[in-house]
Amino acid sequence: MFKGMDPVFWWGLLLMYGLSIIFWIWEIASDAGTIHTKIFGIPAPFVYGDFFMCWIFAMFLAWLWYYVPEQAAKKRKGD
Amino acid sequence: MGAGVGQVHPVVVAFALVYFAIMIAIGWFSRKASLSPTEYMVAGRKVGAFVNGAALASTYLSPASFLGLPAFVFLLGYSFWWAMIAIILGMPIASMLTAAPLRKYAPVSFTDYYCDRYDDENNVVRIITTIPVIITGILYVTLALIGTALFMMAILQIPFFWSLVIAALVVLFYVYLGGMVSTTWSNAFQGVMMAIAAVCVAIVILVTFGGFNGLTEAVATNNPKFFLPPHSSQGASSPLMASWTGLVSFFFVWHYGFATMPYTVVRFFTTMDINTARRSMFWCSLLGGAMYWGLIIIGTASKVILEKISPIAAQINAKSAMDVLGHLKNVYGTNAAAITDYTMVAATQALGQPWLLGLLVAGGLSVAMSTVAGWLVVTQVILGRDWMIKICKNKWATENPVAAMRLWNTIVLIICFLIALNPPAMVLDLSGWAFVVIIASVGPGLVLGIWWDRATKAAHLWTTCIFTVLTFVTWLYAKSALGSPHWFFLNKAFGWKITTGHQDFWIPVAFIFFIIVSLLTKPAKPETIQKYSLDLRQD
Repeated sequence: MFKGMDPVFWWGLLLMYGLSIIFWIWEIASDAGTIHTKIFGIPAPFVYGDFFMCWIFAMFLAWLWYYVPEQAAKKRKGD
Repeated sequence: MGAGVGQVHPVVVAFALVYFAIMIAIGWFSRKASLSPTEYMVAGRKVGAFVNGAALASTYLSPASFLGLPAFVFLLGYSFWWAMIAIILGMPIASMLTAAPLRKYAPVSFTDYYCDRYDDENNVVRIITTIPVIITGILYVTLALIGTALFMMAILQIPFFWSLVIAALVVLFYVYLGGMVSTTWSNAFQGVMMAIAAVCVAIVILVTFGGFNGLTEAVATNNPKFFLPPHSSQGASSPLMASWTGLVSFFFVWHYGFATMPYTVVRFFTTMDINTARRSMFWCSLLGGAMYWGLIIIGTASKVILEKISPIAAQINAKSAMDVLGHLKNVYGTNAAAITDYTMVAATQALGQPWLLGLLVAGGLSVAMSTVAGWLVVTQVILGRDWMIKICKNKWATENPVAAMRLWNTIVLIICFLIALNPPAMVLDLSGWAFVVIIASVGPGLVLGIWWDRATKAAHLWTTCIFTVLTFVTWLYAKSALGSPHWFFLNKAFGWKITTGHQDFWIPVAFIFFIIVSLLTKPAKPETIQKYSLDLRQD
């Protein structure tokens, strides 16, 4: 199953779900929520959730999952 | 002067008129697409990464996103942010999982892959696969038409019936004329439009409250439980979000939809090549992520805006935001929407900026009409090509494929228009179920068909039939017996209080079921597996 899938797909998924779980645990462990913690002077969820995970990290994954297979294909054609 | 309820500002009307003029112009200039079935069905496979990415974002994100998700944040609290984050995080997953292999295979219809991969010699696979897709398509076109009409009704003050007529006619015009070509270009424009609208509304909200800190303080003062996480000793933002199952299950309701929903999958067929298909996910994540960044802020601020800033709250002496929404529902006099669907519009109206309302109406119409067009293209190809030509072998349709698709485009739109006129309340709630049914019923056959040599025809047929019924029956039972489709349907029997958003636990169960049946049944021919599974995995 999934034979031939580029390993970067699994590394990307591991990173995505790993980060999500870390943030969930942090939130559930903070009785009043992480909203009282500041990152760059802003309530933390706006930085790690709304900005980073929802936008920047999704774009990073999209980039990672086209850039690595494209480079691998170029390398195969060059060999 | 602002444009509040009962007032229509010329700036708002101008935004709507320009929007409709652009849509009609795209339909007119792409009319030559009807000369070729390949142009009409898959835009000649010439679409670039940015245009496809923008079109993907607008097609995938429906009025359920624009109207429904801010309302969910309003109702369920901060934990629902993760469901919205998961929708955007799910977009790039399609890149390697389904987009690249399916673009390499280059089919015409959503069902083609299933028929080839599972040796469909008697059309059984095609017939069974199309059933959940047609049900979902009709549901989504209806929902998106209602969303379009709600925007026009609430902001332009046009009666609900005439809003529906205008929406249906405009979308019929450009899909009828230009098929996938006009749908691609109009949806790309709409993808940019909806992101700009959501971001602008969010920025105005942040400015109004004095930034992120001011907004957080205002929300926390207005609703002290809003930011509380599951299992907090101080309470819960909503009973559905009291435990971690609420947060995690809502994360997965829509998460895998992008890789498996027919209206996004068909967009992978239209790109120039495999690399373009993958690259389009980047632009899709950029625009979709920007829109959701804005929607999260809008949803978070809605309650405090409606209760503290909205002039209606003072006029009617409202005790809560629900009173304001209830008042608006009475003013607009339609039962075609849930009361909370007015949240987004009402909050923006309360900010009192005509240009912002103009942007919102253009963004809202973009989100709704692009989804109508995306689903219409899917259903017209399934009914006009798959059913009339492939299954029924109809001579007229075989000789006139574009005319056959246009016929079904019109029929589907008329059916959905009639349902939208007075929809049963349940239709509005079914959008979440529509996602779960597609991912659970036809998702395993698609994903495992590509990535597992052992996937079998029997497994696909049984999974589609069983999980179409199971997801619906359990969803319906939870809604009627437990009061919400988001409670686990067996809660009453075991005395539990487990949240499972839209009964989405069926998704992993369906994949496990598919694997077990595949291991017990006969695989496809070796040459079929080579061509439609192994060969598709490499660039």
